[in-house]
Order: sequence, then C-alpha cells, then structure tokens
Amino acid sequence: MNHNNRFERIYITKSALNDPVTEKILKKFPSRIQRIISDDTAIPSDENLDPKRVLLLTRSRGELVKGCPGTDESYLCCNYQVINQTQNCPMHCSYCILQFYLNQPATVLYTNFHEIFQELKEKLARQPRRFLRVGTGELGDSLAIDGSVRFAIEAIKAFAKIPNALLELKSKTENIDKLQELDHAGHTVLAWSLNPPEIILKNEHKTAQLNQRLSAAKKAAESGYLLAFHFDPILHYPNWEQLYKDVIDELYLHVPPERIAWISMGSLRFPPAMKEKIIERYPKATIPFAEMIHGMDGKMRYARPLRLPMYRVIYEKLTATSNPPFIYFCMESSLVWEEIIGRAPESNAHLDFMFAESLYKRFPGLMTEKPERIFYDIGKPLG
Amino acid sequence: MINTTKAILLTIDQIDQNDRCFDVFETEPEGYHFSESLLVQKTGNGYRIITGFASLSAGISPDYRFSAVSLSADENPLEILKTIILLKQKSRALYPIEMARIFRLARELDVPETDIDKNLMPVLRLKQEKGLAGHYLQLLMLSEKYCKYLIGKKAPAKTWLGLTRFDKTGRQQIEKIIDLNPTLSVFEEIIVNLFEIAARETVSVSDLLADLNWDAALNDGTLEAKDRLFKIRDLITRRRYPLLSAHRERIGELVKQLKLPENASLNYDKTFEKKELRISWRLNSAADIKRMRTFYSGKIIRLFQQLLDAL
Repeated sequence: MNHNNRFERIYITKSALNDPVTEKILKKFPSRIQRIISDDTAIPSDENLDPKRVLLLTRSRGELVKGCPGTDESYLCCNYQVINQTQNCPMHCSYCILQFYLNQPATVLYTNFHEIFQELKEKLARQPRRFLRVGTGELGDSLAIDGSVRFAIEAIKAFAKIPNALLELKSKTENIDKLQELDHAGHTVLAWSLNPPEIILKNEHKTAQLNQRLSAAKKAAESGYLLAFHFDPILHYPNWEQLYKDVIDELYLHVPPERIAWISMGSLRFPPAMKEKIIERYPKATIPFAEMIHGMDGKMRYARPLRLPMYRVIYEKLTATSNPPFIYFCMESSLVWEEIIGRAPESNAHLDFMFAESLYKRFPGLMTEKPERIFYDIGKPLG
Repeated sequence: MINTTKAILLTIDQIDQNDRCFDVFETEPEGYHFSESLLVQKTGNGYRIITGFASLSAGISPDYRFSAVSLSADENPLEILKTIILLKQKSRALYPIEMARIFRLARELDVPETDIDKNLMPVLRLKQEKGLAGHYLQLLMLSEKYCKYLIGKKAPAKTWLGLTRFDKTGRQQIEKIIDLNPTLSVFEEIIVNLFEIAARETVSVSDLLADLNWDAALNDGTLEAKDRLFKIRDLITRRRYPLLSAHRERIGELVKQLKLPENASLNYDKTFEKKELRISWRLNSAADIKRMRTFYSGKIIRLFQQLLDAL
C-alpha cells in the first residue's frame, strides 16, 4: 500500500530546502502541487484540506527527542523515549488519538536529520549507565511514508553505534524492504501493532492486514532484527476471546518468541471529547459505544471488569510458550498488573529497569553491562 | 448591512398577511408583541412583514396606523436575515429550531452556501463547520411536542441535534417519554443510551424499543409516572452497560449481606478502578460505639474479604 500517493499538496519551508533529504522526498511526488513557504508562514488554513493529505517538509525548531508523555501517575508508564520526526499518519484508525491530539493542518516531516541525531546523541550520552528505548512511532507511523522510512534508515545506522539504546520502529505497514540489508547491530526493534483481522478491517482502515504485518515481521526476524508487538488497543468485540487467541497462534507461527524483545498490552482508551469525533468520522464504528468509564487519568477506558478477562486471556496465551517474551501493560494500574501478572512494578522507573533486565538476560551481548536499578531510579526523560 | 430603510405609517391591511416566509421565530409570551418592532419590506402591491408577526394577531383595528421600518424591495436577503437575527438576539438567544428555519429560508431566498457559511454562521454564533447548516436543517423534522419540550427545558443545541440521529419511527416512539415529564438530564441520558445501544447492536431503534417493551413500560398503569421513568431508565442502563450493571448488582448484593448498622456507611469506587472499601462510622453515643464493636464478627470480616475480592 503506497501511502505517499495520498498527499495532494506539499509545502516546503525555505530552510528545509537545504536538507539533503528534502530533494529525495520531493522526487516521490513529481506531479503533486508543491509550494515553498517561508519558515514563519503558516499553511493557509482556508484551503480546508485534510491534514492527512497535506505534507509539510520543514526543520524542527524545538526539541524532538523527549520522554513519552504517557498518562498521569494513576497508571504505570514505562519511561519510553520518543523522536517526533514524523507527526501525523496517512492511515485511518478509528480509535487513533492523533485525530484528537494533533491540530496541525498537515502531516509534518522534519528534514534536519543531522540535528535530530545530534540532539539524540547528546541526550543519550548524559545517561550512559541507563539502557533506553527510543521510538519514532509515537506521533505517526514509523514506516508509512517515504520521509519516515528515510529517517528510519538513518536512525538504524545511528543506533547501531549507540551502546546504551534501542531504536523501536512501530508500524502498521509491511514496508521493511529498504531496512532488510542494513547493518543494525541488533540495536533496532521492528514492531507492529496487532489486532484480529476483523478488527483491522473495521477499525484500521488503509493499514496492512494482519498476515502482511506478520509476514513483514518474519522477514525482519530473518534479517536479524529484534521484534516487538503491541496489542494496543485491545478492543472488546463479540467473540474477542477466540479472535485474540487466533492472532497469537498466528504470531507464534510466523516468529519465534525468542526473537521478540517485548509485547505490550493496552486496552482502548481516549479522552472523553474524542468520542464524538470518532462517531462523526467513523459512523460505522461501534467502539465508542462500549462499556467505558472515566479512568483515574480522566480518559475513557473499558471498566476493569471488562478489561481484566481480555488481558488474562491474552497474557495466558502469550506466555504459554517456552521462553516467553517480556510482557508489559501500557498505561495500566498496579492493580491490573497484580491481578494479571501477579506482580506490579514499584514505579515507572522500576518498569523501565525491568525492560533493561529482561533485555540483558534474554539477549546476551546486546548490553555492555548488567543494568543497575539506581541508574533507572535517578534517570530522567530525554527532553 | 441594510442599505435603505424608511420610517412609515401603515395600516394592517397594507401588509400581505399570507407572506410569512420570515416568520421563523417562536411566538413570545403574551404581551411581548407590544415591544416588538415592526420591520417590513416593500413588495409589488404592499408590504411583506419581516419582524413583528405578533402584531398581526394583536387585534389591531383595520384603520389603526402604526409605525414601521420599511426596507427596499431589492434589499439583500442575507442582510435582512442578519438583521432579524441580531434584533432577536437583543432579547434572547435563538433556539436551534429557529436557526434551522433561518437556514431553510436562506436557501429559499437563494443565499449562496458560501455566504451562509461565512456570513450567516458567525451571526448565529455557530462555528463554520462543514455540514453544520445541513445538520441544523434536519431539526425541521422534529415535532411540535419535541420543540416545546426542548425549548421549555432550555436544552442545548447538542440535545436537539442528537435527536436527528433517529429515524422518523424511532423519533415518534421516543417522543412518548415526554409525557412522563423527565428532567432534561434524564431525557438526554435516555436518548444517548438508546442511540448508542442501537449503534452497538446494529439494530433499528424501533426494534430496540420493541425488545425493551417500551410501550408497556411507558403505559404501566400500576406505577406512578416517576416510577415508570425510573423503571425505563434502569431498563435502558442495563442494556447499555450489561457487564457493569451485573457487576454492580453483585457488589450490591454483597453489601446488603453486610447488614451495616444505621450509623455506618460503606463506600467504594463505582468505576471499579480502585479495589478499596471505605467504611465510616458516625459515633454520637455509647450505643453507637457498641454497635461498631459488635459489628466486626468473623462472618463480617469474611464478607469484607469476599467483597474486596469481588470488586
């Protein structure tokens, strides 16, 4: 699926013209309307175009490497770090938080790669005893559009030389062909979010099908990449139990658990105001009408009596294998951790440390030293 | 802005009483017409009334000459609409049904869509959202009964517009709930839940209401109106939140088994995000203290444990 074709108009700021990648990206769109604007000019909003159909190539002004905002302290987060080089996504997932969170009139690609990597290296060097996970798929898909893939390629090369970090590229595409031959030195994790085919069909429009994602994951494993998977958002659908069990069967048929660095679980959640947006944009979606409550962080989420059985089934199925991957919850309460896994991280820092511990034990040679808890407890977000 | 106006004296028979295209506002309470200014527009033979429709039914004698402001025959319809909106807004905010009538009139007067979006929407204090005018136009399908209820309850536009999501049959059936005089919040809860259940179960609202025995519940002669309303709400809530309702019921049963003394109360997180019980005691006398001391038997402690496990 070529997502690049979706852009109707491309804006380039003057300063971005100097970045080598800009010309390469523009070659992908020879017949699209291209306009050069000054760095201080806003994209004309009166054109009223869907931001998913407008591309802005520009240079970042502020920091792009930072800690994942996560959610408030009522729920545990994993101290993940993000690089927001791509902001917005050409795919159409009914539950996507970006439709609420981002208010830019375009999909933004930052082209000053060199400066972004400088910022990254400087920030990582400040915490050399901590092993960090850094992802590009927080505010967009890591591999959906050409400019993101180009950044991913450079990032893979950069992380291959960084001893204390792993890059995670999260995607709902199968676009890994250009990554297969790269020298990643084991420091890149290719990750996919997973859902049953029926849910993908109804809620993850214009994304790769489950079998395509898993085939891509298989190829990635063959190229020596570590893998990760995200059952997030888990949706409460009729027959969810069988649907999710089938996905896990498929997953382990395609890739051995030994190659999987981590798997996350997170149930559907969104800010209350997003409910009306989902109804408006996806009139056929049934997800806004589930049994949800206002969680402790103010977001709508399935009531605990609903999400516990789903987590239990998925967790038990995922761990019913020898050498199961590290499994964690994204934005869940200590109570849910306890009830499903039998123990809960003491803090976000502890969860971060648990990742490092697991990676150290499961992937010998990946880290240069045994992780020590103290460096995680005193660790800070990158930005 | 209106270009040309002229103060004139008119008799009632100079006004074309059949031309009521600008009669878009709800009738104001008795006596209001005395303060409503009369705005007319010159037509071929006489005058078309723009504002002040109450004057027509105020029992004015045919030879009485009253003052009016007259607009020229070629006045821009958009400007006339803006003027009547602004005039009305001086006394009160417009009701959504009135806005719907204004959008219909704008179309009938061939006001271009771009003008409606750019010039009319701001005057109506609406966001310039694509399709919003069309959405308001759907309010014209609402019955008199709905309009009267929603105006009476000062319902926000969201509630009005929420009703347009139902088909005609569904609307007609839901309308019957108004006879039970629900508060606005109860009414809103009912319509939102009905819509969401129907959407989730992909059934028509009519089928859903039939399944809920809606008519029987509405007309249950054994119950007072408020009890019928309570029963209907409960029925709908259980269907909207089946698992949560069942869970709440289980917890409720366990709480009942505790047989809390009258000076004690038990609280827990109704969203079930926290597994936590909070018991509080009101102690005013030695008898209160005794009740507390004798309450914590081994059986009660086991029940607390059960309750905590079930939360």
